[in-house]
Amino acid sequence: MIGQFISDLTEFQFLQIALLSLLLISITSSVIGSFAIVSGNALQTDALGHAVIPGVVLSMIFKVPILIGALVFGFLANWLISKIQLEKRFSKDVSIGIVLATFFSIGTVIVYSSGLTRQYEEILFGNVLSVSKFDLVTILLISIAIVTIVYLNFKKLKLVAFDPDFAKSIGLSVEKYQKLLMIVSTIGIILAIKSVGVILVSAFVVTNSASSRIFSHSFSAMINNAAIIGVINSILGLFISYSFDLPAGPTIILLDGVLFFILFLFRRVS
Amino acid sequence: MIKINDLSIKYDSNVVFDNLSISFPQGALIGLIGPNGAGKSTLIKAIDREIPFSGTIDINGARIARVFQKPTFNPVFPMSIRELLTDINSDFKDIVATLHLSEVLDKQLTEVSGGQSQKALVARALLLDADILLFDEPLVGVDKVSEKEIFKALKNEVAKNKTVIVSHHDLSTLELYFDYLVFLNHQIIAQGATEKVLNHTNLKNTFGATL
Repeated sequence: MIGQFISDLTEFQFLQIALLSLLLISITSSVIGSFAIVSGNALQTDALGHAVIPGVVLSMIFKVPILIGALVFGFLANWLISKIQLEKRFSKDVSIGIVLATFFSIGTVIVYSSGLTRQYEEILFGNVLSVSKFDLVTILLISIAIVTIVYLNFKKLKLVAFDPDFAKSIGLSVEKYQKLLMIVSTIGIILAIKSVGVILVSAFVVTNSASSRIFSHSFSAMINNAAIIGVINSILGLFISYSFDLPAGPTIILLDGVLFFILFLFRRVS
Repeated sequence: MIKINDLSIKYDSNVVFDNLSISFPQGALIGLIGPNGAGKSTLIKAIDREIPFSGTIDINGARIARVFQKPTFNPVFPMSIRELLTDINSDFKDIVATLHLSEVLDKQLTEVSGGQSQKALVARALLLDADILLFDEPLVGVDKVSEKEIFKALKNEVAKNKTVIVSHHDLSTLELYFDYLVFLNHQIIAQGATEKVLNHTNLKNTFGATL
């Protein structure tokens, strides 16, 4: 079975593209997922995943790259979440829940009124085997940009996530770095949507970082370990899904989830 | 030297300071003394430009480092004490020795006692090598041994001509720790060298009849 997978991998370009795109988004997700977890923004990645559906569907209707429509709605959702959060009568999860549900509903209504129901499953669960060469180049370039931006600002982003009051007291613009992280994270989440779908994108982004957090003692190690887990599970998940004719995204995330629960059960309780 | 002129601060209708003026000497370990709600934390926040105020606070371009009343760090963040210090300055050997942190350097900040965690945060502030150090009640939850170690480290900073301002509530240790005292209760009650101003009258005027 492994021999067949390797043989097909060397032969079929679509499989090579699928594997490369999964490896790239695994690495990018380890970075943004780790920041999301330590900043308490894991739920926001879920909201973002759902919130971009109208953008994805409209992009399909108007035949523009999905990334463009998703970006517009991703930033719109982020903006709305932050505006509602300013209202002291609501806790953070209220804004996330409302934006998530409203945008998801808008997307679903557009899907059913525009006759795109056949593609809806692919929007929800993704299809890594349909990633094109153009998509892969886009994913590669954006992944490089995300990792480079985070690397160049790593110390400051880390300090802002670790201790914003102290960061502010030594003159760092906390708001500026939080915005930078929000922009980078939004783009990173959208990057993974075509491969794993809007429903599971947040799980793809945060689960490996959460697993890594269980045994990592520094933030850099947390990101690196999450990337290693992501790469291994992506290869393994693609192999299993290809061999047993299962959807790749959910198979990979199932592996991510199982690994998390194993690590959680055997964690060292301090 | 820190020069404050006509400082006025109010929270909603609550006036904390109304035209307060004071100068803090350079190269001294200064105790900021007053009851709860006297404006000690507010004064520290104003010097650190954290809150809006009217009047002037002139620090002559000096750099400030601050330790907060309660730890402000994110407890879910994986951070060892070594990493916390290395991120600021990897040359932390002396400060770690003074504060007796070497044995817990590789422990997570959340794994150590409250006193050790506070010492680590003090060490981080000292590693910034700032000219002015602001400490807002840094000894909450700190045991006596750690308290003495923290003040030993602060005295080392004063020896380098740095200005250290500590908001402090334990009146029994004022003479032991501070060169200079500022008695504050919405206004300056008294200020000066510890041996000159630490007396019953100033304490009573600051804390009222409840003392």
